[in-house]
Amino acid sequence: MRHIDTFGICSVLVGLCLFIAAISTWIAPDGAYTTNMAQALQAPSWQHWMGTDKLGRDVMARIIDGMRLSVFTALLIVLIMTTIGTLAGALAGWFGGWVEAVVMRCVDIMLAFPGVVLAIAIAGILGGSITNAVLALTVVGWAKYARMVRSLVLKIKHEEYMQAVIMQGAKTGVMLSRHILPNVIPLVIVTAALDIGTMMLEVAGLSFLGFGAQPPTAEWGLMINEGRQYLQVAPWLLAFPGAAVLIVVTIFNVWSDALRDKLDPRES
Amino acid sequence: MSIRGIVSRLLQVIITLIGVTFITFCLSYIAPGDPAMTVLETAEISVSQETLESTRHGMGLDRPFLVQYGSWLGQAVRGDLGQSYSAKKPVVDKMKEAAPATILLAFMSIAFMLVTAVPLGIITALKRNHWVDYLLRIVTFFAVSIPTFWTGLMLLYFFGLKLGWFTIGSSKASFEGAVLPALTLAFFMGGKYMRQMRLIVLEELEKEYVLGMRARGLSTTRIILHHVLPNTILPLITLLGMSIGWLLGGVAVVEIIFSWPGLGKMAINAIAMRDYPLIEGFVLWIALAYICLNFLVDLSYSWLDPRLSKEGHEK
Repeated sequence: MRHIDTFGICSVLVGLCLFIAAISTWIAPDGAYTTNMAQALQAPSWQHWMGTDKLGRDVMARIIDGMRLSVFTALLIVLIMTTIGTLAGALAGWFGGWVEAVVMRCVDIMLAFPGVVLAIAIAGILGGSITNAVLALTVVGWAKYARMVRSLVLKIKHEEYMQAVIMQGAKTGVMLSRHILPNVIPLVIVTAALDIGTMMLEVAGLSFLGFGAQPPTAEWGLMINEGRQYLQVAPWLLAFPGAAVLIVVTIFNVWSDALRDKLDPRES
Repeated sequence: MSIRGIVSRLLQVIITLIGVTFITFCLSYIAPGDPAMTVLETAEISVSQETLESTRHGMGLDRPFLVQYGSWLGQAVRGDLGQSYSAKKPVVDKMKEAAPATILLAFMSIAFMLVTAVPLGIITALKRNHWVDYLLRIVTFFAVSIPTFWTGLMLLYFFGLKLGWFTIGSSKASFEGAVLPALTLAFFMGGKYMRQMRLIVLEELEKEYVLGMRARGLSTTRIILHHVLPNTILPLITLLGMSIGWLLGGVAVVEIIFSWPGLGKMAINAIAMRDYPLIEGFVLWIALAYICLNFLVDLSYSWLDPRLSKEGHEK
């Protein structure tokens, strides 16, 4: 795949996903939320390309509408957790002492644990809603970034140019924002990009379990859960939302992989 | 490992265990809903203010928060995790019932994954930039991008409903019943392992000792089996440790789809029933399992590669 510009193609596809998600409200065919019992559980046809669900809602309209929730929720989670993780890690690495001790003990606790389980526990106990799902995944996800950024900051701190900056008497804020963060951010971005797809899967998983989006929201994981009992009679209720998750997550995963190759050619 | 290392490690483990259980405790404390109410409702006792108060008192819920946590911790140290609200039996017994199913599923899926992903990963590395490599790499991308619950449902649909190879909907753990859920999990994990194996083997193949062996006329099969494969074991063990920890938590989504009576399903039910002692016990079990596995992984490192422990001493 060397001769093909994977990154370019995937960037276009990612852009397309974002674009569809942004304008989904206007382009989704009618019927994402209008129930019509007379049309319930119809197989895919010219009128309803992906069939209808138990309440007669158009599956394709719901999938297009659900794109917004999946894509933007995942982006939001990644944004929040990288921000918190980067700040916490930078402060821990820079100041050391008790700041570092507190931050790193929290990180140890979070990483000594399969994140998914804790996310399920948090979202489940707090009650199912998309906000709680975001909260749960953020609480679990920041630790990885804090650990990574801290070790990077420690390394940079001992570089000669940094010692020179310190001796010049630069202010802490200036040092962090001008000299430390620009060196840290590329790696954070690469890692964050890899996490977008993962977060989409996690949000869909939580919603599937009933700890994320609630009915009647059009969310892919929730749609699969609602279609589960019709596995025998209406498999299209599962096939299409699942395919939607698969396609969008694959696009983001391949894109982030290509991004990493581009920014960090050592691994491939 | 030196005495100092062991002590600091133990201390870290204790802090982690306390931290994890404390977080869960805080969550259940601030969560909406009253466990006493749930208990009364499930027992179908009419709820007056008086019975509610006395139930709360009986369950120890009227004590201050830190006292509640302290007494739970005190009992937990002695191996008593309290009574499950919903099942009216000790949490430990309830978990012992569910654990074998989860362990069976965990090891079966690991076995399925290893016998497929490891050889395939090696093949992709050997056939680098051949169409086989591209095809398998595309498969790995799909494998890590498919939600496990969707793979599970599709397997159910094709092998359970269409082909009728497997009976579905039995809620007892059996070897036959474990096949489909194990395949679901193996497929998801397999993608990651194939990629890792490919990377590791590619890296090894570029080393000089391989070139030396090629020059001496050793067959590729021999080089791979006797010389490259042993070098992939260490990184593989790290990955396996993480995967087994993940699996022992009971992969809730998969267990629910296949009505598999394991820990994950138990935990989801416990959350729905607001059965806090059971949730707390479950969280403690996972943390312990994870920590023990990490420890075993570290031990196996210095056992498989004695150089590593020596380097540790020099530091």
